[in-house]
Amino acid sequence: MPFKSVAEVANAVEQGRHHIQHFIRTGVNGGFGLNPFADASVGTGLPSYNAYVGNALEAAQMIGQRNNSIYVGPGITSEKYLLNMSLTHGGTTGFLASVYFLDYLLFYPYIDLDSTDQQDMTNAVALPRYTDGEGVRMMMLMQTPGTGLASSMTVNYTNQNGVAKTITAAYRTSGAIGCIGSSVNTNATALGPFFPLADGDRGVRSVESVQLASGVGGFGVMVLVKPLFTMSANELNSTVEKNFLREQAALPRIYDGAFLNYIFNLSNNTSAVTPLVGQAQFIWT
Amino acid sequence: MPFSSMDDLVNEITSGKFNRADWNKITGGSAYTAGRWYDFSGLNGTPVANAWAGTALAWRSCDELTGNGTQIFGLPTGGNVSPDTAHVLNVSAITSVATGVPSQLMLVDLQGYWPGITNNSATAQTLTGTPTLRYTNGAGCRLFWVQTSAAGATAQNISLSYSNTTPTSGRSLPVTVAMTASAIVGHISHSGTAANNYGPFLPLASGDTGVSTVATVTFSAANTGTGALCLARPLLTLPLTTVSVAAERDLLNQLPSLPRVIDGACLVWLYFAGAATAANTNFYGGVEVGWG
Repeated sequence: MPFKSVAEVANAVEQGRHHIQHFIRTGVNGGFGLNPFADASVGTGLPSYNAYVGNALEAAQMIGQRNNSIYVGPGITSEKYLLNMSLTHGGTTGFLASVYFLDYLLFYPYIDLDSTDQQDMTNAVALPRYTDGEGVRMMMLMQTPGTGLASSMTVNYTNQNGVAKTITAAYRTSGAIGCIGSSVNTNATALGPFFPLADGDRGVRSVESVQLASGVGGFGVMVLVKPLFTMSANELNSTVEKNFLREQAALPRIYDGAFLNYIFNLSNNTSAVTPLVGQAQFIWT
Repeated sequence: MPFSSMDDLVNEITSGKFNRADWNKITGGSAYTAGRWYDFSGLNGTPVANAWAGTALAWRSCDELTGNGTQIFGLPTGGNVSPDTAHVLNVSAITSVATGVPSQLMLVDLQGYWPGITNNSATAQTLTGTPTLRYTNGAGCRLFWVQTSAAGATAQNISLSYSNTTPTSGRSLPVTVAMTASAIVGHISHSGTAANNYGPFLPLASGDTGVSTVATVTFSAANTGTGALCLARPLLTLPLTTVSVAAERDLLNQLPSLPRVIDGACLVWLYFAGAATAANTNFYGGVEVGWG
């Protein structure tokens, strides 16, 4: 049941139908170079380190429980939304310029980035949320350190209508675990954190296979995510805050089992990015 | 029926009448020049590039679901929602390249275009087809020329005969408008900092507020190159001030306007280069639309 009014949103807090969750990253995996995105789920602190453990090339669902992702409050039978979010970067150099908060849905681990063979995925499980794939995007990050070499990758996937599609996009490996290779902008064709989609596509249900044009070292993990919102900062040690009712005119829906975490980019080439401290307030009807 | 109150908006959006589309674009192999406007629909990324399909000089309509009939290049908005009305709630954009800022993005609803107009003519070129527009008689719709193959080095001015929103035909540009010699692909080539440049839109005759169709295009001198004359309704602007920092705009609270997204809207970005923008500069962000 949706919120019917602003008063109902306020009442959710007044009546205790809310949860405030703190989260902190005390360490991430090294310097990422200038401006690529990196996955904050791969790091120490709270929530716990997300190592993307699974069987190679097999789809694994990502279900939020306890502190494996940002805890969104108790399981409920009504609808849950994000009301407030704050984030502070307490590092010493550079700053956390932009953040995408994501609902992590599914991942395919241990993609061999030395191989130029087609690597077929096993899809024994499907998306746990956003099941039609509408708005779901692909991002691929380093699961083990790579060489820093560039390549391109052909990805066969199933779109939001259940139709098989293919894209080819730039990918550059990194020596840093968690670095999202499609966003490394020393690549001439880097497009940002998410792989592009084929003509007419709005989302992805599953990935069927990947194939690199050349071997570049390391292992990658392909993750299907639903972007929820962005936040930005301008300086160190200054908290950025967003109230989604008053400052963004849309309360992000948080589905049962949401695996909430974020990716970030940096204004400087630094490993001194931590601590990253945040607070989220969830409400439900 | 539009949103009737904040309560209604909260209710509609939390009922699922909401769409977020994450987009990305990369500028390609040529640098952009400070002070000029460029079209982003023709760039690679998500959505795919607009390749300006169509028959030379013949109107080609554009919409969200079918694009130009060949490429579906408009940003997804959630599809047709009538009898509800859809509105842009939030937009964001990021560039991770230092020369991508300062800059400005403008979101427009591209009604369509006349492709394949040659710069290599000094006589009137007659455009064909009757635009079917999402805005009655082109209310608020503006014209701009996108270079679809690079222009040669010859200086030329552009003149038009268009119909305004009355609609009265035979309207012409009120001033001399200079195209840019050697304009690159994607350049809105009457924009820039040279004398008689206007951007991003071609100026309208006195009293006119929009364009419903165009009869002829005439250049003052022959040059090489080809372009598309586009007709679009501007919806909003989004300044980017700092590299890597997300530019965000809330169209309800921060800048109350809730730009309407009419069924079929073909949303594309235009880009103003506040600085010389390096080749292969990437931009990405989101567009959030709600309806009720």
